[in-house]
Amino acid sequence: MIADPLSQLVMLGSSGMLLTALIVLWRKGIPAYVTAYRWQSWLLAAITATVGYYGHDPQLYWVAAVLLALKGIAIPALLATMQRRFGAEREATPYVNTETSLAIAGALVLFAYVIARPWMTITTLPTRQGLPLALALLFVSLLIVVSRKKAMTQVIGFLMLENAIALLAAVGTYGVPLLVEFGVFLDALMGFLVMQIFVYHIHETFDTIDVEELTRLRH
Amino acid sequence: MAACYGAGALLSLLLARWSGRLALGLSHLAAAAGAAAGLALSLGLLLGEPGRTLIQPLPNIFPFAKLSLSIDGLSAYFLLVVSVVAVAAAIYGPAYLRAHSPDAGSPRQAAQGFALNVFLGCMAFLCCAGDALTFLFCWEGMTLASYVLVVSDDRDGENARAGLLYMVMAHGGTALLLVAFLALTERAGAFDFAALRAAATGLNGPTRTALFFLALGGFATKAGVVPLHVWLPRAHPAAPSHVSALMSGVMLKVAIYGLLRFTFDLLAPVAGPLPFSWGWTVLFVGTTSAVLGVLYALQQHDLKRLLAFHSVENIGIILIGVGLAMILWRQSTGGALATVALTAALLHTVNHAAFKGLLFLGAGSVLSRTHLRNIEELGGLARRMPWTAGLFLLGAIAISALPPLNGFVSEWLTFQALLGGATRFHGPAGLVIVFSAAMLALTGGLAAACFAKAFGVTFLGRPRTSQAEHATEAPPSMIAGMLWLGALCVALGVAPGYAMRLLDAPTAALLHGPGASAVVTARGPLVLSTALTPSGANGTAISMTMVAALLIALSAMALVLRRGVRRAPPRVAPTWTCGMTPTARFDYTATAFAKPLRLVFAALYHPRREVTRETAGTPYVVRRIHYAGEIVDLAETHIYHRVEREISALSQLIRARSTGRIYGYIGFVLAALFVALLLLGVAY
Repeated sequence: MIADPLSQLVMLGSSGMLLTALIVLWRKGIPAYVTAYRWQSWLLAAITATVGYYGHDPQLYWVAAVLLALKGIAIPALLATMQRRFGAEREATPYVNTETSLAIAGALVLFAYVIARPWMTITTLPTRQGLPLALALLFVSLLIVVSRKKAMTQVIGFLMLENAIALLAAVGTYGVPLLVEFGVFLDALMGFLVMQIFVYHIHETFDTIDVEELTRLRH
Repeated sequence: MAACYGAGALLSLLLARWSGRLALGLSHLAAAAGAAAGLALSLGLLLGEPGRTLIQPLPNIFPFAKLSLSIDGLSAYFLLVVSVVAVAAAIYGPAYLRAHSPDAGSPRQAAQGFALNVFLGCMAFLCCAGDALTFLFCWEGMTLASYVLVVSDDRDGENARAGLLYMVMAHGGTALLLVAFLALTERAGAFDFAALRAAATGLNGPTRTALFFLALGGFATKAGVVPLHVWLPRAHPAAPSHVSALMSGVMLKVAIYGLLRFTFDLLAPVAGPLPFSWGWTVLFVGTTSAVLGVLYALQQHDLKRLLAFHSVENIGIILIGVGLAMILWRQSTGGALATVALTAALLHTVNHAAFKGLLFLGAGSVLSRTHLRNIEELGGLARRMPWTAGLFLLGAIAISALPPLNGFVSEWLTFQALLGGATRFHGPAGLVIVFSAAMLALTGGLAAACFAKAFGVTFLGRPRTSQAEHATEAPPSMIAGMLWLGALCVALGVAPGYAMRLLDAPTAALLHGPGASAVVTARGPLVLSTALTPSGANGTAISMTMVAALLIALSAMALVLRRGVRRAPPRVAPTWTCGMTPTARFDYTATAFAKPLRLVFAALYHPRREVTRETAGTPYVVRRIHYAGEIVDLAETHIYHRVEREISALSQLIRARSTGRIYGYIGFVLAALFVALLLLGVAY
């Protein structure tokens, strides 16, 4: 529908990112989630670099490089370490089963398109096709956090939420200043580290990473 | 200066892995070098040509604001105060930390070195900040670094609690400051002080007053003004002693700097006096802090806590001067008197920094040698630690405002300003000022009583515990740090006229009037006289040098006379104690010493005591008497505990409604996001 290569590429990448989030709803093993997150981060870095290439903003290459190093390599590696440590805990019985989750996710994507419509009409950026997809990714990530029981899944949901925000920033503003981007990185990294500690503590206390057990803390 | 502090911070980080001892030494060395550079810079500016302002733009790290340093007279003066104590603390620090906690690991030592450099650097740059962003950034850095230092000393729960309270109070204050500054920057559209000044001229009266009270709240929290002082007596004792000296002697003064800068410089109207309510409020809180600070100090038996309460008192005295200057500034009848009041406040700032620094370092020497802070468990240290005792006594005399030391000079000046001010106002206003003067006099007397107790019980008499009995003198580098501040106390006391020259630039910069030496020193640097009228008719004068000389002469004379009178050779005999052997328990204890005052001010203290007797069968044979007593801090019980109860009641309410299920909480977030987006979408 649009011949502009930037627009096409951004749309392709954003759709891919959304797809990786849907994989999390569909699969049950935590290693698959880590892999999905890794792909998603690479796609995010690629989109950022693409926007930088077409927008002639060399700063964005740096952002893409940091994204790749941090979210594409470092955090997935840490996640894999965590996963190995907890053994093969599977997301066996989520609050919302797979079929329903996927149906809700579909509804959320539709909702995102509805929400993004006024926004789409006021921007003329070539990247605007990515906006509803970024919003949809944001909702789906939240759905992951809400509907799944294992702490690891919830952490991955949060990280995907963070990716969604980064994507939204990249396609919505044509790249944000490096300083702001670094602030967000630092926030995400800190959040992740804190959550990692919490997951370890949950595992130590309850011998499982099922957050259902946390309700026992209330008395 | 920046290079030195930065290098100190970096070095301690780099060496953390390798050798904590080396990191500690080098970082303190760098801090000392930085402080010396600050000292040189500020002295050069203060003694150079008047009215000069140094402006140094900083690299732009933010796209939206230009950062700069601008050092005028006031900045240079406070930089001087910071640097003076920083030199002493940097000399004193390494030996103290090694002696106090020899088993500290190298990461902790490196962290302490790092935080000290950040702390000093932030305080120095805060005084030189030329824009609101640098100011707030340094303010926050100062808070965080001092928090790290507070919790770094011992790993016990009390330090952590003190640190937490400090953090909460400090951030409450910072929030108020943020609002005050951002309201101005919003209006100005820029962050530098010149733009803020221009923006403030367009403010109407009530807005201006609201901003002033916001800033006053923020700065008063940091300065530890009653009733915002509760963090101070907990956090200051918890920090390592040289850091306590810095926090008490310098950090509180930085808050005073902020208040002066904000009130007299940024927010002041173009013409006419400051609004009526400002000065009187400051005068009132100053008087209250001075009296309550010393009263609570009297009942403390923890040496460092006692000193911390004295900081509340001295900040009160400084604020009395500041408040009076605010009242009198640009009044048709005030004139030079405002300058006298401000001079008194600024002089007391450096004086308090010197003697409180000295006292905290002295307390630190005692602490590092005996590991005791409770003065009831000390005693007899004068013989075992003569240098420390002598220097502590010097500080005690200075803080009690006794001539010929520096505390006397600034309190005398404050009195001059107060009494002069009282004659300017008729009716109730004059009475209030006279009342404030009376309270200041009471404060001085009580401070003297308090230090008679602190010095007497700690250093005189017999040792009450074995730690006190086996104490030895502190190492030379610690003594050197104290000597530097002690020398300063004497110099500022004996020749205060020279200090007036330093005060010329800040007073002239702030009040746009005559400099300090124009109104205070009339006849040479050694004579202080206040010319309260243009003709100097009802001025009073005092020569501190003469006072000192007279005191020395008198004591020499007394010594000579006693020599002459003595006839029989002295006879050494045991003390007559009704046939018992004298023990340490015969000495005055701190509790007993403060008892009369506890009774007199019982309404303020609400003292509680508990005496239990263990008798052996009959009530006539008492085996053991156990005494426990405590006093309450009125502000703490009446304000803070009430707030605490309200908050916990509220959280109980919320707790009853929480499910403990994470998906529920995040579901709320998701739902809220949905609703918000829908509403926005509909609005479009």
